[in-house]
Amino acid sequence: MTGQYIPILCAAVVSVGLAAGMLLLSRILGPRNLTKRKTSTYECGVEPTGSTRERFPIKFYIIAMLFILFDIEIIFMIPWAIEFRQLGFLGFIEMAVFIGVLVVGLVYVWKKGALEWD
Amino acid sequence: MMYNAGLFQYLSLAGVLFILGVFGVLWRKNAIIVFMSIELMLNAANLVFVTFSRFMASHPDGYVAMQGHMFAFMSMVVAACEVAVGLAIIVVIFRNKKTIDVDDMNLLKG
Amino acid sequence: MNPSGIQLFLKQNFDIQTVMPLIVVAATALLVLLLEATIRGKSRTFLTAVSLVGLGVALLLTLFNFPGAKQSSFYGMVRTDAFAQFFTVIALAAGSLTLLLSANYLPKIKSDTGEFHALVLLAVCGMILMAIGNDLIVLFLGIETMSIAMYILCGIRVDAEKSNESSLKYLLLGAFASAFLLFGIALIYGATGTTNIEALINSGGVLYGISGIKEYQWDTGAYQFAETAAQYFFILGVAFVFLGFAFKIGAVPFHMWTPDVYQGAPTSVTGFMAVGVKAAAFAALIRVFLGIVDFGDLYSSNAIAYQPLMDLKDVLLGVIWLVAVLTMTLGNLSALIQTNLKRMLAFSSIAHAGYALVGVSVALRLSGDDRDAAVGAVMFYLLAYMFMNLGAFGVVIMMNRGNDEGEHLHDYNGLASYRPLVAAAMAVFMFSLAGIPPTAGFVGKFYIFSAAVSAGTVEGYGLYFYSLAIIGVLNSIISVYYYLYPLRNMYFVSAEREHKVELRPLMSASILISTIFVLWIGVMPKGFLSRALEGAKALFFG
Repeated sequence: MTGQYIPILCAAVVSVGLAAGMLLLSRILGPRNLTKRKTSTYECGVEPTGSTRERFPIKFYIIAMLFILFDIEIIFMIPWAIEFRQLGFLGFIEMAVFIGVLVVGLVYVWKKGALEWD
Repeated sequence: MMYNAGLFQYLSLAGVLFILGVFGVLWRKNAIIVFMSIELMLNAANLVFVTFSRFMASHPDGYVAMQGHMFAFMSMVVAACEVAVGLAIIVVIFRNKKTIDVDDMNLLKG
Repeated sequence: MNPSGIQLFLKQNFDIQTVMPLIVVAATALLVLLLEATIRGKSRTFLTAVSLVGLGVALLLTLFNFPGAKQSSFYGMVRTDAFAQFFTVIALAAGSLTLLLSANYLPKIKSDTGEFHALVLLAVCGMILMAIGNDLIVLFLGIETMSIAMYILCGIRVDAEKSNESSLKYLLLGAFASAFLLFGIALIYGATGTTNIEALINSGGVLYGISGIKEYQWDTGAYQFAETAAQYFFILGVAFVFLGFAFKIGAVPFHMWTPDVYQGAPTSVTGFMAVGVKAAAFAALIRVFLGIVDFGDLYSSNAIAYQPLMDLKDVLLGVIWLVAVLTMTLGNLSALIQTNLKRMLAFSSIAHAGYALVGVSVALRLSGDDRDAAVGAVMFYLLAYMFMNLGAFGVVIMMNRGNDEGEHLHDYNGLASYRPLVAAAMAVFMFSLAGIPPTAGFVGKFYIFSAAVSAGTVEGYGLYFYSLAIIGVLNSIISVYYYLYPLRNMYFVSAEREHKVELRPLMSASILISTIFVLWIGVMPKGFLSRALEGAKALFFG
């Protein structure tokens, strides 16, 4: 059962060893003379403008967070939708309460102005 | 020969993911990466749940084994809430301190 | 899963009455959130009133309309017994006192938002879930509901870097501990085939998890292997779950976050964390670990040959012994050298978790009435601790003037000369925390240490529990020094300058209530203790 994996293990060891060895050798043997031009970012030959780590406006984060929260709730709705008939009226009430809680959250977010883009 | 991954393989994967997460939390300094490592740990736990649930499905008492799947759902939602709160806190910290390096969190020392 | 377990699951009804307090608190939280978003007024005192009404209704429902003893509902997910009732009352009272304390404090730190009230209510919801939860899923959800609300509450002062930092530390370490907890629960599930504590006991000590898989048509050797593997999964799972809980109660060696987080968080949140989170975590810890130990006993009684799982109880006792001793000692020794009162109280709360752990370790070893006495002692102690600690934090809040001032020990110099009543209240809380009669803290410590002494009479455990009791008492003596230090400053050192201490009505009411209860519990502990014992008895699955 495990015997068939031995070639894969060998291949993995060899490839990782080769890659590590090359990196190590080039680091030890290679000459190092860094110039400003050499260390600058390569942007298709054009002079780089601005920092790579540009900061996103905070709005994106807020939208992302709200998206995560409202998106993940589907995970509870799908099983309910699949078993809708078996869960019956009680299940319906439960889901209504659940969605009601979500709506409260939505109203809160809306009134706080987190959904405004500007 | 078709080889079906069994209980052992899934659990090993989960264990590796969990240990990777632990080391990520202990060694990395960027708060967001620490946070990602924690998510990795939570997902490893989810994998364990689903694996056990799957392999207990042929158990005579089948529907109790469904608990594992349900638990995975619950913990995914919990993880999402933690991510939302965590991101919000990290954004606030970045606005005030201009850094999210956990080693720079040194105002509170006795 | 054996037939009795299945029947247990099927016959559980869907009883909304059992979770009524929880629903009331959650609904109030949502209402407060909506009001916060819609009303335009400046004052948030109105929201305090709404939240307090919600908590009050829930408290009345819990005290007078709680379902009868030993009732499980929602398919065994929650269990509303006297134990749950006791801790629900602690959670609700801690929430109410915190809101009272915060009413005048929040404007001072410029965080007077409705979200604060809603988050406190949601944290209380989490604590109630931890008190009534009878299934690891419910307990995990309760812990997370509570923790996520607490992460935000710690950082509610958005513009204060210390508060932010406290919040981030709590979040990262708390989530880390939660991940361990979840992984541990997953392993226990794999080993036993259930996450329900009652079903765990009802399984009769058989591991129905992976060793019960029929798909593989086990031969005897493979079955043995699976059974052994399941035992190790169970042991590892228990270890991880303990790690998660140890973090939440701030036990050594997972206490490092406590002082930093407590110091950075707004003071009323610190008080809430120190009592509410700790009490709820102990509720869950006791329920889970008593279940696990009982399961281990059942398993051992079934076993023919030696099995690794049979060692679980003794290993667990050893670990908890060590953790309790370290927690008490390190907490007290670190508190000795603090100059910031808030930080000192943080370390002292670590020490108090250690005292409670003494009771837990006793409860895990004993059985029958002795176990009830030990569990009851822990419950009683947590109740007493809630009032005395929230009271002490209340005085710190009263001294606060918008920044860190008023937290330092020398800020209390000569307080007795210009605010005798506040100083007297502080004296009561400090005496109680130090365990000096006639206060609640003394009675609590007395019950816990006497439970440890009575456990020492068990054959072969004499050294083990007597030493625990002696170390506990020695620690209490050490703690007297640093608890009396602020009193020395208040009564025997003259003030360089008088601080402006405002006696605002809500805040004073909260401190007054705490003082009354600390003295009441200290002088007449019988009634409270009998409620605690009732709860401890209900916990036993018979």
